[in-house]
Amino acid sequence: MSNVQCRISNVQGKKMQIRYATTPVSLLMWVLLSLFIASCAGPPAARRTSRAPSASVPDKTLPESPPSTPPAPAPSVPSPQDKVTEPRQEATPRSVASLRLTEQARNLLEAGNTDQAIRTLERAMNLNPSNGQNFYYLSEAWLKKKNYRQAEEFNRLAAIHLKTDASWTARVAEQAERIKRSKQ
Amino acid sequence: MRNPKTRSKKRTATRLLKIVGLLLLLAAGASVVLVGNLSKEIEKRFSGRRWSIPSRVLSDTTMLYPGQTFPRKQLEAKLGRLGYRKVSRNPERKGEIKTAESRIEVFLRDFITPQQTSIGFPLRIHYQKDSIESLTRIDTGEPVPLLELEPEELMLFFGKEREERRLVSLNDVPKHLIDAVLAAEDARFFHHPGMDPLGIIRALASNLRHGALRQGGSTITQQLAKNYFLTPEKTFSRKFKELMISLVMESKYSKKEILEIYLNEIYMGNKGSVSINGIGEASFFYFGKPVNDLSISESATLAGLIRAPNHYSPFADKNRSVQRRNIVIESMFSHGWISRQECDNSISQPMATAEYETYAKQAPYFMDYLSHQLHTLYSPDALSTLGLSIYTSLDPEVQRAAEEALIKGLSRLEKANPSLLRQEPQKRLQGAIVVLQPRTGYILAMVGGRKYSESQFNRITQAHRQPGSAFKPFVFLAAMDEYTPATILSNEDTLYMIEGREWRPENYSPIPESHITMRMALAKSVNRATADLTMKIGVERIIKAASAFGFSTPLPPYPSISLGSAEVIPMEIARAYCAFAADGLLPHPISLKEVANEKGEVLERRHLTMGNATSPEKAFLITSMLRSVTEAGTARSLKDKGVSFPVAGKTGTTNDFKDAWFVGYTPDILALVWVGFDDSTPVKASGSAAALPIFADLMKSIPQHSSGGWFQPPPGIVNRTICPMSAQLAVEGRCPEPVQEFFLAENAPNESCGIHAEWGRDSGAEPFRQIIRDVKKFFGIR
Repeated sequence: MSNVQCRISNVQGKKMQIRYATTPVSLLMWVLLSLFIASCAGPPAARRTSRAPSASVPDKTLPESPPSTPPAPAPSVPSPQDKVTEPRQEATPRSVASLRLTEQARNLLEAGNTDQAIRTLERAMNLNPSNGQNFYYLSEAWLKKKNYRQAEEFNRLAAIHLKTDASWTARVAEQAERIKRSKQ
Repeated sequence: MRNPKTRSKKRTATRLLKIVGLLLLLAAGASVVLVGNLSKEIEKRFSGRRWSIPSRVLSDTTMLYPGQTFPRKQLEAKLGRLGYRKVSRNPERKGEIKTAESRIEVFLRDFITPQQTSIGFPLRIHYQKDSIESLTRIDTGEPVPLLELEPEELMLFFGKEREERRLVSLNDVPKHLIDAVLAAEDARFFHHPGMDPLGIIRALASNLRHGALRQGGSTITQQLAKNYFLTPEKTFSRKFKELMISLVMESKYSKKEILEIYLNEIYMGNKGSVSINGIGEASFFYFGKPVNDLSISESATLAGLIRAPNHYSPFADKNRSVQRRNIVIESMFSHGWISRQECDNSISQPMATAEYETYAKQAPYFMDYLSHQLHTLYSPDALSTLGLSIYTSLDPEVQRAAEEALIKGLSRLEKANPSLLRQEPQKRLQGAIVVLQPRTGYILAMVGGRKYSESQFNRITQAHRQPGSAFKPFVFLAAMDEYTPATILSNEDTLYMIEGREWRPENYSPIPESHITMRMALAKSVNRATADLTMKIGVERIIKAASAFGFSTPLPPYPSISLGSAEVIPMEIARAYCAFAADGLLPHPISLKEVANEKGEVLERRHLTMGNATSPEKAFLITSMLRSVTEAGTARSLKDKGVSFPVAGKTGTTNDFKDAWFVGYTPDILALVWVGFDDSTPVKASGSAAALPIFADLMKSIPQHSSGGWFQPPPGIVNRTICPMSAQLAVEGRCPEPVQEFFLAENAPNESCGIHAEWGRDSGAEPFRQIIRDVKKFFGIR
């Protein structure tokens, strides 16, 4: 029976396990199966791969850093400095160009050139519509212009597009707080 | 013009003139009022706006970066339109370009936009097939990570005078150009007091001989006075007034100021019905470059034109133009302004002019749309005189691709079905395209009809057409609170009674299944299933959901609205789809980005604004279902037509095939194509047959706008493996065709498949077959 447990542990949902275990025919099946398994014990890794195409929900919350991008420095500093960081997703020429514009816009924003910063951020958005950091700075820019509605919308978009990045998620949440406070 | 005849004659003439001049001055002195008035007039004219300068409409700038797909031919054509001239040697001056097999070398020009001031530098663009491999500065060898190319000039707003002019400052004008102008028109300009006695004597003598004013004999100051303050009639009193003005002008302003005004004022020819004024514009018109780049021979050509621009134009008669030019060059030499060698060199130069350009209105439907907005901000007079720079969202490459795709597509349809051909141009088969950036709402291209000269009716912004199935996504969206893409709908032939009237929707093509999932119902555009959904959720909910997308046309509460019976404006459908591509946010379409004055100060600025049409999660679900349209539904032919990257799309076909639609999008770009007759006679083709191929052609010609990327599911979306037969969680190994499906987290299924989990419902043999399948699967045997 231990084999059965092992086999179904990857199948999602408790109910499914119960149904598998309680249906008589299914029990028969597992008995047959365990006989097969006993007679030819393959390496566990091989078994895993053979099962791959069936019901598995990809867990998108685990970031997989691509081998091409340099490894990020260890997060020794708890709050990230204000700068544009390398994306975790696979970098395409377009997304690289987009981030470069985001960085330009951040400098403009720092220099108090809010309108120009917004225009540059819009351009960056056109190059990569899922550039989450770009939304963060758009929110920042609209907050400076005291357009809280737009700031909120872009903050929301930043939250969506930076959800896999813990440090950015924290910054986005902090930004949401700031918008809320400014509105009052 | 003052060809010296004989020396002795000149001397006597000078003496005579002195007397005449004195008399004239006395007369002027006597009439203090006149001089005072003239003085005031001149001052007023000089201190106020000196010239009317048409406002320029500019396209969006273009970004280049390493790794970008941008076919070399397309980039070369773009640089050509920006006025870069091909040279065979290495580019040495701004505005030159050299092309080779796998690279382009270009000396970029300076340009100013409200965003930045760019100083030109020599750039090498290395190509790897259709992609830019690298961008490198030739002078320093540094790599360029991101480059912005200057905007293209799309249109000028002319006033009644239809003058074009580019102002130059005397500091920018090279010495040899000034010398050439003086040699041709008024060699003693810097030495006479505003009138040249010899000139007047000659003019008087000539006039006495002929009994009327024939010859000008004018100095540069006089020419300016004539052009600037006087009407062109030829009378002695006018001549007198001209002299007075000249003298007053000379006393009030420096020679340099007068020369600068003159160089900007003079008439230099015609470009169609538009007059070219000033040396700055002429330099671009005849030689395609700014004045400071003009050579001696080019300067002499322009100077030679002043006498009679259309007669001596190199576009009119090259030989005559060369002869005239050489006279000017020789005169420059005889005054000692150029060396013998310069003179010989310049005379031996061939006449190399720029391509003759006319004002073909680019993107005419877009310009109309833009003008309409501009006229709410500025009067026509302001637009034609203030020299504003109007920065727009238009992408000339996309616009071109859209225009070509439409013309090609419509001709193809007519060829395939000659009954669509019409004799009268007004009744021809029509089509329209709009291309938007879904997030920003920037209008990249707009083609409002087949041929602007035949019909200026803009079918993107002015037409009211039934959307047909292109409306269905809004119906499915309305159901997303309680239904899911996996919900099963009925495809049975059903007669509904609505307020006493029968409604029996038919499918466009036979769908054999009696039941179908929402995803496939939308993918295959199944009318009966859509009607079933409409009756289940109620029309009111559909109206409510659709209303959030900002349609300005009425949405009457009839069930047939779900099949697209309510007329809409194509632009509004395109805009509404943008929300699906942009996390549910509805952008406001933008054509005008900035307006800057002559000094480059921004007067008007439009940023993107957006409203909330639906949630990011629901938008994602609709997008995901619309991707099935292009992969397994009515638009699956898109792949065969060469569009290999993921696209979400929807076809639309209305009753009796009156309208054919296709709306397609990626995260980067959205395009809507409509095909139909203005009088609604049938096009006899569906959206996928008539509109989709045009979309495919368009997308293929603008690879730089398709990154191939796809939408990431927002946080409230979960992915489940389900059995499509039950819309419940698939039972591992038992459900025959488990599929992955996206759900809103709150209405994801949590029950296992009721059909396949219960063995009792299956036939007796099924369990065993299932075992064999499982065992096979276990060992990886297919």
